[in-house]
Amino acid sequence: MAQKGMTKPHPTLDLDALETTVTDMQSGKYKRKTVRYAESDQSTVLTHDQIVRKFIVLIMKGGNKDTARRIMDKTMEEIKRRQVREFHRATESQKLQIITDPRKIFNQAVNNLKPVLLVTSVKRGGIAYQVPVPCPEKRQLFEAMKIIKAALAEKTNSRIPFHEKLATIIMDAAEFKGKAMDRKIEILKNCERNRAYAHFK
Amino acid sequence: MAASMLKNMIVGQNNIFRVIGYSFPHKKVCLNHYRCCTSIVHGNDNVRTEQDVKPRRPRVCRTTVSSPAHQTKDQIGQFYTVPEPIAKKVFTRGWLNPKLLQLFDTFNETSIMVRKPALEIIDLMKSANYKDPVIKYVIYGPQGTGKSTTLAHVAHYALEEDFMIIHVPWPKHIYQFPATYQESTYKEDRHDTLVESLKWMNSFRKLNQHHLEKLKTTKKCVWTKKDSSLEGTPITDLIEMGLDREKHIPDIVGMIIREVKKQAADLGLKVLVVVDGVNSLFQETTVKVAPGEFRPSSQIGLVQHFMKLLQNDWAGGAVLLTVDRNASKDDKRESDLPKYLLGKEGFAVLDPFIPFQTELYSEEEFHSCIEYFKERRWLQGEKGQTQRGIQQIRFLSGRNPYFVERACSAW
Repeated sequence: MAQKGMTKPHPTLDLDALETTVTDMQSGKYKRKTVRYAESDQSTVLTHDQIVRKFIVLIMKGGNKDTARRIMDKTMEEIKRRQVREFHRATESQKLQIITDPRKIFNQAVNNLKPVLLVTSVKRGGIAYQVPVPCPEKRQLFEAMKIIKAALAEKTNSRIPFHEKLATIIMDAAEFKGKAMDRKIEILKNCERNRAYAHFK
Repeated sequence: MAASMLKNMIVGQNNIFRVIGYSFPHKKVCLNHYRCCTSIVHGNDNVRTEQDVKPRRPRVCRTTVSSPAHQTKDQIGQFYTVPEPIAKKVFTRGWLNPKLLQLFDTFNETSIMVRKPALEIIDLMKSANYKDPVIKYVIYGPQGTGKSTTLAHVAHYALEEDFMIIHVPWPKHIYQFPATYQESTYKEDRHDTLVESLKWMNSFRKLNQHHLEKLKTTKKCVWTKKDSSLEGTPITDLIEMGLDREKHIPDIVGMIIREVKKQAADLGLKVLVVVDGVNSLFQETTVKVAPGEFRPSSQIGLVQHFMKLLQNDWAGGAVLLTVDRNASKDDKRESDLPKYLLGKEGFAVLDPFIPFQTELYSEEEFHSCIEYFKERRWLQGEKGQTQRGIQQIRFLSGRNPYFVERACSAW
């Protein structure tokens, strides 16, 4: 959304950080500081995660933020449920290795899917070449989420609820396997195939 | 709270005006708990301060006393684990909410919290005289406060004391599908539901196998021109016959209930009748009989049989009932109280009964529940285990047991 003051600092959502700056306020340091508006889907609930929020926007269709958020909530619960279920049926030594926090798993999955290289189209002499290019860090997060979204769009024969599908994709990606991982490997292979044109860019 | 509110006003000045005063008509506003929590920041009078929420003394969330007969006030708020053979019979589909059953599966154990209404009912059942007419216990309360769970807890006690259990899961299911109605051959003005009768008979047999051997019929029944059962046939034989000849099942169910009522006190049998959502026995079905008139559920055979168990004219048991808002029709869901939900007819049938109210968690129960979820890894993450996190869960759930679990599921 185009706002006046897009370059101004973001509002803090961390209540602990907000409370520690009370004494600074009294010194007059924050007297006239203007801050960017908080979005309607940001909150100070401790489960709120900025990366998850970006992903919710990505899977949203037709402006149905509520539906997208509900799906993500169900997905997080599904991941947690599967991990906790495994945890309680595991031996003592296995329990140490099982992560039950769904946010950690989601972060791990997204980090595993970040592509180092991407392919862009460059026209030389009327022919469009696929040139491998390093993916900047800011964009890597978006590309990783895009890979998950593409993996979701694949049609399967059995009717699985959307959140269960998403949960499977995320959990697999955190372990370097599954549909999303295959897509990432395909992208990197494509870059490898076209490495002859790397000097075009 | 006040400090953070002040700070937000100065540091994030624009935030407040944009979130409170400015509406976003072009965006679908997220009617979710995020908005609840922004109200904390903007100073909602209903929110308690941190001092109110601190636990008064540290408490253990679990207890090893797993027999309801031995549980006392000291165990209130603690979780006990139900032994597996009883969990398979009573803490299963039909008795409890599917979400709760899913939780049992996730945690790999069947544990529920010991709460006051269940202990009160068990105390009364211990001191009741089973030669006197049956006592009716009616449980009522807001959604999610543990009515079905209380039923299961008391049924656990009953199974340990070797009661016979007659369980009617959700009476609405009996008359929900008009396509299954058949006119009864035995009585005029009665409609039978074959599928539901068969289901009930099977589950009754599974629960009470060892008690059925004592029961025998006291009346001669003529099923068809060829079949008839004499006096003194065991109920198990009747059930076997019913499984062969499905047409007779609804009447066999009536026979079983008739014999149980007649002979319970004489045989020394103790019977526990459990009905979850008794108010749906006094409702109308969705079958149209005339324009604007619906068939009353009292014309359904199974409903008539179960209604007989709710009367005062038999001894040797206890009747445990739940009155639930969701068991009523859509236009009659404004209150949770028994007299409103039962209506005139229902109240006249059930009167006199002893009411028990299930309530929201007390502070101690709430903290015990949080401790249990922490231990079972349902509430986790460094943030979820902080004082502030627990405060937020308490606000979001309002101490309603069902919503405490739902709020913790996001953490």
